[in-house]
Parts: sequence; structure tokens; C-alpha cells
Amino acid sequence: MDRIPETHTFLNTLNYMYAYSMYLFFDFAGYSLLAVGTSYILGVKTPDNFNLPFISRDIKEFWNRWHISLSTWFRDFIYTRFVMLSMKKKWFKSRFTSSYIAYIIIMGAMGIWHGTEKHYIIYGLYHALLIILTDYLQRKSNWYRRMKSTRVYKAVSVAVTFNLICIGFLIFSGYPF
Amino acid sequence: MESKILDILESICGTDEIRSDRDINLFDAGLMDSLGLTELLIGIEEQLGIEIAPTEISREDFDTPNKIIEY
Repeated sequence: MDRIPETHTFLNTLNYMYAYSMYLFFDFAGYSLLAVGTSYILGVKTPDNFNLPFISRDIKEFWNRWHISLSTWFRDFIYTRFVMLSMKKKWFKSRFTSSYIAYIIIMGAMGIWHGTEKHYIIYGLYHALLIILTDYLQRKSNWYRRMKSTRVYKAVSVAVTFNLICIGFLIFSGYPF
Repeated sequence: MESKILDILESICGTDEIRSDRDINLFDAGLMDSLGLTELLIGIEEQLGIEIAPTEISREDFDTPNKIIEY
């Protein structure tokens, strides 16, 4: 019996999406913890690579909780330096333009870092788009300002973010392509 | 120097809460994000002449007004 169905029906794809997301998380977080534990035995304190990523309320928070080593590297070495340079040299009128272009650069690079197959590149750009939209909406939306501390909003945003993350992983898996 | 840092922080975060609560965690409170931290580094460099490379500091070094001043 085929565990993973060959035909990509909507239901199969949905099923695959959640199953793959869990598989990816446990696999990745698991071996990251292996590295943390082994190095600790040898006296080296490797920082954790994951921090409860699925309780993230938005995609920006997610990137502070998932594959922390990689996202921190991109943030410190590319994002911050690009934004600082572009602001000092006044390349753009708005600091948000600097920020958003920097996100496209780092998330695009992150995608390619995983591989040059098109689904990795799409994965990176998908996250760039999500981050930019999230940041833009959070800044501009009065509705968000009013709702963000309510319990309902917090619960719903975790659920929505979780699904957006899983869609990202579905792209990442290459299954739809 | 302390007052200049607080001035910079206030203009980035848009609130003077950072003056009244010096131990507030800026990132947790949603007052600062990566862009804010970048602007802070630029502000410190331009107004205080202190160059801090983004890779020199960790978020924990800079997450409250007091910690920033201390650094």
C-alpha cells in the first residue's frame, strides 16, 4: 500500500502538507538538538535552533523561532548591513523600502541556500512576501492595533500563521511541482 | 550620553515609555524590531560617534533601555 499517494488531489495535498510539516519539524529540530546535546557534553554551549515555532503569532515571530542559526545569520550579516548602508547613503526615500528590499534579498538568498531548484526559490520569495505584507499591515491597520491584544486575535493569528507556515513547507517539499 | 540614547530610542519607538520603564523588553513589547535595532545602531553611530557592528551584539545585549545604556 502506498503511504504517500501518487495522485495530487486536494485532500491528498492537504494531508501531505500537514504530515510533511510535522515530519520536517521533528526531523530538523531533532537533529539540531542532537548537535546541541553532543556539543554540550563536550563543553560547548551551542544555542538552540528552534523555539516553539508553531506558537508564533505572525510570520515575523516565526523567523525568530525557526532555524534560528540561519535566520540570525541572515539578519546580522545581510539585513542589518544592507539597511544601514542604504539608509546612510540615502538610496531610498523610505526606511521601509530599505527594509522590504532587504527582506527580499535575504529570503531569496535563504531559498537558494536550500538549493537551486525552483521550489526552493519560490519558498524563499513566498516568505519574503509574507513578511513584507505582515509588516505593512501591522503598521497601517487600525483594526490590528485595536485587536492585537485580544485573546481571540491571538488565538486566530496563531492558527492562521501555522497554516501559512505549512503552505510554505508544502512549497518547500516540492510536492506541488 | 544616556539622554542622547533615550532621545534616539524615543524617536524610533515612538513612545516615551522607554524613559519611564528602563527595563522594558523592547522586542517583546513590540516597540522595536530588526529595522528599529538597525536605526538605533545608525543613530548611535551618527550622534555618539560609536560604531557598533551588527554582528558584535546579540539581541540580549540590547533588549532593554538600561542594557543599551550600559553597553
